Amino acid sequence: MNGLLTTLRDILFLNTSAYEQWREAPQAMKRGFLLLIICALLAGSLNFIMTFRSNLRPFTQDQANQIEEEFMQGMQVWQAGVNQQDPAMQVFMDQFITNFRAGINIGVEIDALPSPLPRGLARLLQSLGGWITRGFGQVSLWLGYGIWVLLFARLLGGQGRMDRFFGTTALYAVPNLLGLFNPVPAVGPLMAFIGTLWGILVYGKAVQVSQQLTTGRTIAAMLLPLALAFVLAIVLSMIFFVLLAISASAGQG
Amino acid sequence: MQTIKRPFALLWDALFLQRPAYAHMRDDDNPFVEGLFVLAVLGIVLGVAGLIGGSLEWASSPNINAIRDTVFANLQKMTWWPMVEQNPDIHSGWLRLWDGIWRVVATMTPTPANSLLGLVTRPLGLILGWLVYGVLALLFARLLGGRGTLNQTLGATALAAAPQMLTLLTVLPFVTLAGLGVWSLLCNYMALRTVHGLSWQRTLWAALLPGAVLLLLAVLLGFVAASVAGPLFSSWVGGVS
Repeated sequence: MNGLLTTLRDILFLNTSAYEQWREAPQAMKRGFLLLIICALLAGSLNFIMTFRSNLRPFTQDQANQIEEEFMQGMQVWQAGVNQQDPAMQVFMDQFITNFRAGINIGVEIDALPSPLPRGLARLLQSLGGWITRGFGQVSLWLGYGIWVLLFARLLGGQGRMDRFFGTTALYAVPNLLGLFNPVPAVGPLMAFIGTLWGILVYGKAVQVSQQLTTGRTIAAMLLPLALAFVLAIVLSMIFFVLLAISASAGQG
Repeated sequence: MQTIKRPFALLWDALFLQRPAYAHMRDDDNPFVEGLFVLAVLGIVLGVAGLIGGSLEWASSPNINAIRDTVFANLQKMTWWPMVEQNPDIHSGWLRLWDGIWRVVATMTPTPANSLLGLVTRPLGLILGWLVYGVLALLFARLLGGRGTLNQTLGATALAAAPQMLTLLTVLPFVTLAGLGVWSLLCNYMALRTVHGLSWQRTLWAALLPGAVLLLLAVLLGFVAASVAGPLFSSWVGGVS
């Protein structure tokens, strides 16, 4: 256990030999996966506890009123910028507020509906499900992005086994443990952001060590999938707008 | 018990892309039967997990009809509702659409009865998907110079269902897992590379092309189904009012 903690500490400080040691371990991907899941679940644990506590309490009319009040304060800021004397605008605002109240009421009434299991147990299961789903969401990010980075790394001359690549890149989850503090007001999001940036550095180091690439090629392997996604998004939106324009002009004709 | 444990040990190793697991299937005396057994056991276990998870989700949620009635009662309080009520055509059309939507929601909501169906559909779906993918993968691998047989290909690609093991977590309600398709693709890549001995580039194509063909086929079938089932759906929705 001490050895593992020392390795993880060295990994956080981007020590190359620690990454090599992790890469060469038997069943590197299994170790990486388990580490990723443990870190992701730990990082979301505080949020899980807070969500569960909040879900346990019934959604009361008082809470609904508070939401409405906060919303109205936001609307007042917006209203300050528009012409309040305009009767049409006033009618629109009145209707909007009536509909907003009915929308909130839907939430209050659904929350009060009974379920076959007692409320406490049902809410525990709901919170637990959300916590596990978010934790395992990291797996889809790890694999979904990783598969493209691996492809570009290989095309750029990378060498290394696939299981070792995924096992090593999973280490990005360690600094993301700072995400645990995300629900803490003010400093929490900042700490989570630092964890994300640190995680990117760890990921880069992991790609470099697992594929034995130069720094420049590692950065290229990490950025090219994002560039490809960006270009693809632009091309698809252009196709969409061209099709929209064609159908609009056909409709006019 | 050992007979049940063995497929899971193989799938666990295959999940983490361990080549010996795929080589074991390739070199088995009857890889097809072994693969079929692995998938049948996995499918049944996942079906049972889905049944428990689905039932717990149903028991943790309010009745879907009560939710529908609550939403409807509050929609009637909205400012646009009188305009809908004024016009009988719009009103009846709106009600048809509303009931149609909730019928679809009701069929998708987990219930013990819906989940029971999974005991049959999970293993069948896994086996059917495996057979279709395996045959197509063999075809493309052979075209690209692969040396493996159909029996070996099917045996090894059966292990690409390994990521589905993670869906055992759906024994807990409200758990949704994403990204398993990418993991299955990696497992299929390992399976084809182990069986056919192709370069990594050719193996990648052999692993991707069956999915591309199936996607194309699904899109074409979707268009055909939409043109045939569209009027049927409209009449089904319309039959409510």
